[in-house]
Amino acid sequence: MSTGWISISQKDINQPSKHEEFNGSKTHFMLSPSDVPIAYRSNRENIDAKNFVFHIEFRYLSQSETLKNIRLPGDLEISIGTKSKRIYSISMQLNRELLPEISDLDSYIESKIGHEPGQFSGGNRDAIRRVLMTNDIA
Amino acid sequence: MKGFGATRKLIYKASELVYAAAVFTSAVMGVATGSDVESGWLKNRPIVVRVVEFLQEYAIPIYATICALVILSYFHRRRGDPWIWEKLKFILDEYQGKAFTKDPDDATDHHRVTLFQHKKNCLFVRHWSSNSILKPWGTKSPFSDYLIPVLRSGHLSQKSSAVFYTSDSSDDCESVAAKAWTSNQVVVKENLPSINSGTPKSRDIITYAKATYSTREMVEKYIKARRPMPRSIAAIPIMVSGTIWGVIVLDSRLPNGVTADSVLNYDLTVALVGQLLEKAR
Repeated sequence: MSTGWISISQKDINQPSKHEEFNGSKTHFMLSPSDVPIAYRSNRENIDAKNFVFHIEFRYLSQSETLKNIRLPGDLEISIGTKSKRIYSISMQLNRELLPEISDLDSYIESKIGHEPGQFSGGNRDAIRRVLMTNDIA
Repeated sequence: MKGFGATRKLIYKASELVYAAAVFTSAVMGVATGSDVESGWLKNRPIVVRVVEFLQEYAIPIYATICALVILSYFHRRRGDPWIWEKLKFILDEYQGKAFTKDPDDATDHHRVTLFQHKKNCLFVRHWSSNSILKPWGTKSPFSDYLIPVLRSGHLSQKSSAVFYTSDSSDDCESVAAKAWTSNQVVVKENLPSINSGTPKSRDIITYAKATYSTREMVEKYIKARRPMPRSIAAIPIMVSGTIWGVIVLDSRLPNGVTADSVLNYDLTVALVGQLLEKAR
């Protein structure tokens, strides 16, 4: 379990899309650099013998904006930027007995974020999903 | 394009002093206009009396001048600190020097980095389709939104009139820059057809227009105006204080002058531009 900031490789997360070709000209699409987090950190905080809170924070290249918290089903609390709608942190309360059912915490969070398309910036949501998929955060 | 010459820097510094000077002068004027020159203290000071009488006589023009200077200073400062724009220019120059795949002998204006700002409700911005000074919006509606060039790398081709129409609908946007702004994604175009030399083929013009999210008429107008058309382009959205402020556009006359690496390896540069722009506003 990590407590310090861990760098995220931009090249791993922000790979250009497979190019589209039209009469010889090629097009690539990539996530906006401001949507891709540069680092993350996570920790687990015990509430009692059965329950604990899992918390992940993301840091961006530029992050001068106010935050607001939103709640998603499954006891997920997410801090997002009021203007950019980027995800700054994710907190979720979990029961140790149910943990085996949620065997892959990264995939669980990723699926929850994916089901709420309107709440977050599209590019940032994709970036967070890629971060969760490529890093063993939980 | 933004200026940051010695005169502009001097005016900016002077505008800092205008607020303090205006407050001080207003206070002095308040005292002077309310003074009675026949009062005991002033009676034996003829020079001060002369000054007070002068200020009382010309109170209205002096107040009007103070107001005018404060308003002018306010609008001048809204254009941003020239020191920050100078640093932004330096960053664009450095970016231009490193991000392109080019020959060492290539002219600097063959590979350019341009900063575009998104501006809403523009009335006097001249769209490419306009044929009359009285109707600068051309086929678009008045008070449309545009991406307007504010800063460009190098010292050549600084007088750019390239403005790109943007819309809430991604289908209506013109140009690669507008596409990047609308989708908040980096868009990289490589190997665009060569339409700069001689008489370009109709097929190439159509391909170029489609690949750059433009119309055939727009590309033909640019060719007619003898504007060199880039063969590779990358557009990167710039976020300032959580909102998309504009777009950085890299364009090169070489088909592979701009690649995905031109963006991936310079994300810090783009972030730095965004942070400086926060202070420039």
